[in-house]
Amino acid sequence: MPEFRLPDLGEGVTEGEVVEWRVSEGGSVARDQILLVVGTDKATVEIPSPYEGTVDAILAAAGDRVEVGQALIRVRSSAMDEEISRPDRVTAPPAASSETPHLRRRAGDHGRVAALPAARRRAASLGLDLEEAVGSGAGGRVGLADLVPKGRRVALRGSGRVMAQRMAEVHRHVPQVTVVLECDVAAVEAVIARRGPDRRAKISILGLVTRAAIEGLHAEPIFNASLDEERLEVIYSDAIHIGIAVQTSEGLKVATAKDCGRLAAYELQAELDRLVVAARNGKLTAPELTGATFTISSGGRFGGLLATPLVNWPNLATLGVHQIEDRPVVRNGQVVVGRCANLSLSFDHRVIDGMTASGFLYALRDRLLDPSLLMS
Amino acid sequence: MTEPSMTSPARPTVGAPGAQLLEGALTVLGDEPTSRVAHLLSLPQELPLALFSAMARLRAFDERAVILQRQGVIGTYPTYFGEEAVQAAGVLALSNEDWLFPTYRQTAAVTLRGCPPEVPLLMWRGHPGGWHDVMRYRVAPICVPIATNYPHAVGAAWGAKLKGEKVVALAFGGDGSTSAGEFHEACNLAAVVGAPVIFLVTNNQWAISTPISKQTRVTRLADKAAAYGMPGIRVDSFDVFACFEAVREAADRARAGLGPTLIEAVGYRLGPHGTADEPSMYRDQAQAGLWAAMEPLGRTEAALIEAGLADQQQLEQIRKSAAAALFDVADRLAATPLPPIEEIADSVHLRTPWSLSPERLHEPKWISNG
Ligand SMILES: Cc1ncc(C[n+]2csc(CCOP(=O)(O)OP(=O)(O)O)c2C)c(N)n1
Ligand SMILES: [Mg+2]
Repeated sequence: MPEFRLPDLGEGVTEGEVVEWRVSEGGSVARDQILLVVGTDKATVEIPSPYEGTVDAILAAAGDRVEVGQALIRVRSSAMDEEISRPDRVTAPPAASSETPHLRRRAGDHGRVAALPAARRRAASLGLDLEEAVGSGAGGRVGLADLVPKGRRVALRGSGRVMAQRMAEVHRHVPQVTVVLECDVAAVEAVIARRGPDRRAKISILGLVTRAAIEGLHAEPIFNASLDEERLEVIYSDAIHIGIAVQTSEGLKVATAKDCGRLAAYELQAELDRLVVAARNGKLTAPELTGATFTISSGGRFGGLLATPLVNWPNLATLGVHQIEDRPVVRNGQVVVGRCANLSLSFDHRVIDGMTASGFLYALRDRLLDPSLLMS
Repeated sequence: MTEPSMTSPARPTVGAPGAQLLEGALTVLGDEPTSRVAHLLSLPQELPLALFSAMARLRAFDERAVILQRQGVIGTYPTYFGEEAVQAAGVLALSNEDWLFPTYRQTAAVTLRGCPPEVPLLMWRGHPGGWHDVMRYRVAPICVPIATNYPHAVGAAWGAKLKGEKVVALAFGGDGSTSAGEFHEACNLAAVVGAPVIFLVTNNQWAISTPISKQTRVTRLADKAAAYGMPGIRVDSFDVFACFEAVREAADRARAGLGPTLIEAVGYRLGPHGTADEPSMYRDQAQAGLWAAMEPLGRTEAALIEAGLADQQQLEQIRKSAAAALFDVADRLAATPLPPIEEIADSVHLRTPWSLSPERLHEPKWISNG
């Protein structure tokens, strides 16, 4: 006996609500006669009968939510059953469930696959082709859940490939250790809040930390050196080239501020701003992507409580600046609210020992506690 | 679902949104009764009824397609309820040698060239049997991306001109399409090279949910023709006789080597944009209802009876037999064997994506429907 199942009434609609029935059990029904009214998130529509006969059973009540593919009504045919079994097959689309994504895409669309912005980003980062995803959202829209490449091997491409090789290489070469200090940044924030000489320039925390680190590199040149592994010789660099780790849509890039050892705070800041923008826009030149002698990784708001940055080998150390937040601190025996951030320093333990590294980090913190001295 | 017959209203009820647009538009049905009757009687004998029959067939197709969509036999479907006059006139005012370039809204136009209605219905069913024979019917495949059919039509028309053929190309379109770059490029090139092409733009005042007021500052789309150096004609889109005159005039010009014409068929979208659309979400349906009196089959019926060219019964019979011819079409569609599932991707992708690879398509979940 033919059953009528809820079709996809919109474009990629997966469920609807029975608004009202226009036929009743035991009553007769003609082809094209309105059986019921169904509301979906696209529209409320009348559904005409594909069959002629007597209503044997109504399988969903008014007010019920029904899924596409779910049987709504059974009709006892007045003609031979074989004859009407055909339209039955036509009208039963594959049952839609979360495991059954369907192929339908929005017909009015102009080529671009409908996808949530987050899904677009994930597809890009997973190296998946959105065109190949089967969207299970409304209108065949591709969501995050549709981009789980279960059981597939996805080749790492581009920056992903470089990262895989580079990180393994660094780990193979560098036995590294990280020291961490908490730093009160209230004074740093006060400097940041001030306007620069031309009233437009503003110094950033990255600018101040870089400035403080440069002073440290002048004082402790071992942090601005590299190691000749074969001959076991330390090579002190000619100049200070600070690498700044920048998160871009192409992955993490290290932009290099060349020969910045003698730059005043605002000059340094301008150079860092330029490099960060260039990195985000993919406009860094090849020399700007290489040659760092010391690297700073500032995670900004997403810097985490603490992390162990990898040494940017062949550099010997990397400085990490972590999230700034209000924390309870003890001052003069009183617990007060302080503005704090953790600083981390990862170093190559083959060349630098723990005391030296800690000394570098304590000195750096001291400079940040009195940042006006950095503004010259 | 058949609309009640009308008694010859020439203009929609006062207050219909945008009704003033019809002022100055070419009309036959809106003329004085005597000149209206005189016009109908001046036409070739068979023509008035042929136009009505064509509209009746288009209406029957459209109504059946909506039913089939609701029953899950076809997928999404853009109904053209109310646009039958433009389409029937567009096809019948040309010869069968002339080219048609339809959009998603004129998928049944090819049936007026003799193609069985099962073919476009199969297309909406996503079946490869839905591709009509383009060269045989001289009807291009439909274009869904808005305005992309205009340059195609210009190319066909220009090509015909270069080959010395006396062939005209007609492209259908909507008000929204005139904002697209392709419309501009097509109109410009057509005028420059004198392509024998007709841009038949139905201004139904809506592009899905975008009203014409948010589409353009030009109140009369036909005025855009001036910018390209071609004539623009405005015509009542619900008046099949006026539409026929407009297209014939444009075709005559084209064949005489005088180049393209822009026709703006002015009206209102009486129905939803398509089967997945709910117009009450974005327009006042009570206001829209004031346009219902313009429904073209009813107006034509009334005019034919008035001119003594047919009686009510005869016209009803034409409508009924058009509907009857499609009553069982679901069975015929269902009887069309399903193609092998691999064909889904055959003509779509150069490199078959993994989600459509034969192995994946044969995973049980895809074929649970048998
Ligand atoms: C290039 C492009 N953009 C958007 C769409 C989505 N779309 C489908 S129909 C439509 C409205 C077109 O309106 P109009 O030209 O007035 O034609 P009508 O639908 O009223 O016949 C739109 C925007 C599309 N098909 N192609
Ligand atoms: Mg429109």
